[in-house]
Amino acid sequence: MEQQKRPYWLAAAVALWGIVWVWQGLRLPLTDRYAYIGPGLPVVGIGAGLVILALILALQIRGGVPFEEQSAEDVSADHHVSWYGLAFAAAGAAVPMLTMRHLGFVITCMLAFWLITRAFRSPRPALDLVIGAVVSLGAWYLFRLLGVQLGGLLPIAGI
Amino acid sequence: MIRTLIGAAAAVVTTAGLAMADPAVVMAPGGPGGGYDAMARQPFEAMAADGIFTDGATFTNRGGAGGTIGLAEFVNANRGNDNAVMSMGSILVGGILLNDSPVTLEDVTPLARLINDTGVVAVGTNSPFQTIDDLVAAMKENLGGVSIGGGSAGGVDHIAAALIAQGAGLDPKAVNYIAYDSGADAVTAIGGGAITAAISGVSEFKPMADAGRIRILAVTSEERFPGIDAPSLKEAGIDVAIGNWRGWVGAPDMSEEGRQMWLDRLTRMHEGEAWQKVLETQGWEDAFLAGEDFVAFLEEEKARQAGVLRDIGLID
Amino acid sequence: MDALAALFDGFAIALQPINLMWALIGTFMGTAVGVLPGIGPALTIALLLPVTANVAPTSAFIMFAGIFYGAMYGGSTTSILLNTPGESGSMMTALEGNKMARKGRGAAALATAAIGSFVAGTIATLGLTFLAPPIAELAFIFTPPDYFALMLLAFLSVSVVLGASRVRGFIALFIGLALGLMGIDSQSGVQRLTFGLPALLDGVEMTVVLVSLFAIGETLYVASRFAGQPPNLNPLAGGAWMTRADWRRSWKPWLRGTAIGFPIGALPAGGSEIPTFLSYAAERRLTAHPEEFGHGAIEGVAGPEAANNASAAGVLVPLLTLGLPTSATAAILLAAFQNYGLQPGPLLFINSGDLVWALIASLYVGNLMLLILNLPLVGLWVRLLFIPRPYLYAGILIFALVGIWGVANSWMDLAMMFGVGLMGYVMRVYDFPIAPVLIGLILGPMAEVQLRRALAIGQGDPMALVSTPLSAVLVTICVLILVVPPVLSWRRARRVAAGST
Repeated sequence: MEQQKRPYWLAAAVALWGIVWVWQGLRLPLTDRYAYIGPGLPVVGIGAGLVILALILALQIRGGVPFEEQSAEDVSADHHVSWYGLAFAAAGAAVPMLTMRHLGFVITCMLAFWLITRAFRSPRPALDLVIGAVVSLGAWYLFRLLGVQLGGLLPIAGI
Repeated sequence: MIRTLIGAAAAVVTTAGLAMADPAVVMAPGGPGGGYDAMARQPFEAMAADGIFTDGATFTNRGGAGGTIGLAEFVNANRGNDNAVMSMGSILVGGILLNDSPVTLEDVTPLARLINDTGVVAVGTNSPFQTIDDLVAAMKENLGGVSIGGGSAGGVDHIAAALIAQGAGLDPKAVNYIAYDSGADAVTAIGGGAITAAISGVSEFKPMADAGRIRILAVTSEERFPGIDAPSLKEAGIDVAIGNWRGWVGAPDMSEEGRQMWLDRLTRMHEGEAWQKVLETQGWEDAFLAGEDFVAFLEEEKARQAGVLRDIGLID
Repeated sequence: MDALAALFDGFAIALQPINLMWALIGTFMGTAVGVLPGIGPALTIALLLPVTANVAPTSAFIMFAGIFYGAMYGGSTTSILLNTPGESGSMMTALEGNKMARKGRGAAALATAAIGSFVAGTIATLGLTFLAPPIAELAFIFTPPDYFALMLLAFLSVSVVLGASRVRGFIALFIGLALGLMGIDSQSGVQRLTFGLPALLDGVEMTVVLVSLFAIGETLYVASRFAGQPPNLNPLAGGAWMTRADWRRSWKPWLRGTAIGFPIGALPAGGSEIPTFLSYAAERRLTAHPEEFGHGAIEGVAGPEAANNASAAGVLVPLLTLGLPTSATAAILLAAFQNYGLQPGPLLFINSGDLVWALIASLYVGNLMLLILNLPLVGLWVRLLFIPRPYLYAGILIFALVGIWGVANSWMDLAMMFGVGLMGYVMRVYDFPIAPVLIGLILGPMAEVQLRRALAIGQGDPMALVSTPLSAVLVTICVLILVVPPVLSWRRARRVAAGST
């Protein structure tokens, strides 16, 4: 893929991050009466560092530096990318943001569990949902018993 | 018959529900071992000892920035939780003003003021300064050369340091104040001579003074403090008296029943024996003020601190 | 010797069968909660404290010691087997430990972690028994310049984890530093980079970033490239036990890790992170098998795990001798001690000697119990890897959610989990190292505070940073680390050039 050989957007993202930090840092007091280093100076310094590193990365990318994916267990040898798997896994990681407050820990975890099993192409969706429900309920009950604050069973209904 | 059975079952379920431990969620908006930390934990010990509240509690420590970091987290995490309380005090009132905190005491449910902790000015045992006059003389000579440690920036300790400078005719804004997360950190700093002097509560400094690690030069109360061989600042000719009161607030949007329940528990605790013992061992002065009186006091305190902070140039 | 006699009295109590049972229960519960990602030792102990309220004081102490060491150790199992470190102290364990597990050496990695924790815990408890007062003095000796120099050294020495591409390593480090700046600045009280969001006032929660980068990032990455085949490696392929070579390579890192972890753990700003970083860096420099580092070197598990456990015992030193709680864990311990009428401080051994000795004896017993409980379980734990992949990764997500949601119930943390998880995915695809982000996030804020304190005390004079003997020595070591290798390679290059002409 062409985009993977020349991922200029990586450098752009890092540079943007740095620019936001420099901009925010400059709005804070830069110096301090005795320490000289005020609250803003480290922000500007780190932001500037990110910008400089982004420029070096951009130069490296132009020079054709290779980006080899990291090895991990269970990863196919040819690093074949399954957008289906990524989309479902990302949905699993995103779903707590949407449901945790209103639907509570158990339902959220059940959904997240099911989405991850989809991402890994588990063959039995209905069974996965049941397993997810059992594991979530078990974790919720057990860790609540041990004092971890996980919220109610179904907050929107007040329990 | 069936009805009795159901009734009995219901009774069993209810008692089981009551008997099941329901620990309180407690925020201490200061570093471990500091004043807010003790203020969060000690009342639970006393209530447990007197059998007023025995379900235990889970504590969270979030220090820094005058307690506003802890306050923000408390407000974010516990809205409407009748079982959540937070220790707080005068440093938090100042911290909110200083940081222009978007989360304020308007967001929480005031419960009670419990104690007052007199401040002390201390140096290490090896320090050349023997009296508070020595210290003030050194400040007059080179204000920047006298580094004074204490709790977070703009807190009671910082205000006391600035007021001492002002009382000595110096620029209160130019005090070389070093903020620490807790008094426990500041005490090792003066004990080892890393900084010149430190200001913190009696409860945090007295044990180290008794152990011969640090020397207390003055106390910040109006009069001398029993058990401490040092003059009050007023006695030493510096017109400063400032205390660090502490108390409890409840979760944002706490129900009226929840508020009454905690007020009742605190009132009973205050009358109990265990609490008297805690006051004694911690070196705290009793300053119990509950309910509406505490709300009024909070308003006064807010206005007073805003005035002082403005006078010494810490807010505009 | 009075101390020895008192200690034996303590043992006589701690070794009663009923008390041994309490120790076992405590260790088990500590380990069970400690394995949760995001729930560190402090929270584990706080959560389990109420359980000890129902038993007699001595039994409670014994149970307590078990919880204490169990909580410290719990994180290493998930770090090694699933590459999901749950707290900062076990991050370095994950680096080499997970690589070992992937090679089928998971059992050996777990064993060296368990035995290393035992050795370090026992030596550190011995140190606590006989050397506590002098070690406690370190708290007074260290000044802001010393702390800053120590952190500088930690920064420099962990540069070894920056990975093959220095630029990408530094970007990862700076991302961590940038994240660490968010929140209210403790030295001035000014809000930094909060973008008007109250949820960001308390800064970025380190454990959320840790769990998201490792667990969520890994899940996304593997899901997108999953081969679909069942687990293809036998976790027990490399033998269920440590080989003779493993022992030979482990014992020195255990001792070095202990020597690094115990004193630094006793410092007010020490914590468990700096010792594990320094231990990992030291093992990587001293090893006879440098080629194995980054691919599963057992020294890289043995050292940091020992350092982690030793630092835990170190925390007890200032607590028991001075009454100073120097970490969240210590503050919770202090509260527990006070429950039983123990007032830690200079007078502790005089006022309540018998209880203290029972506690210290319990620490030895708890430590031993940890080993007895965990070594036989090693074979069971590695079977976690046989769980079908859909359920394994889905389960990891649930445990991560318990940790992240259970700590603060904050929506911002969940959003952070998703965002940082995606970042972890991108970093894996484009080969950015993960660990430097956490190193920047952990060390950055500590170093900044100490630097600004040191400069303020010295009224802006940069020489204040080397004003104490210790800071001067540490800074000199830092300079040597930076200067010596290039000079050596330059001379070698010259000699080669001279030889060829």
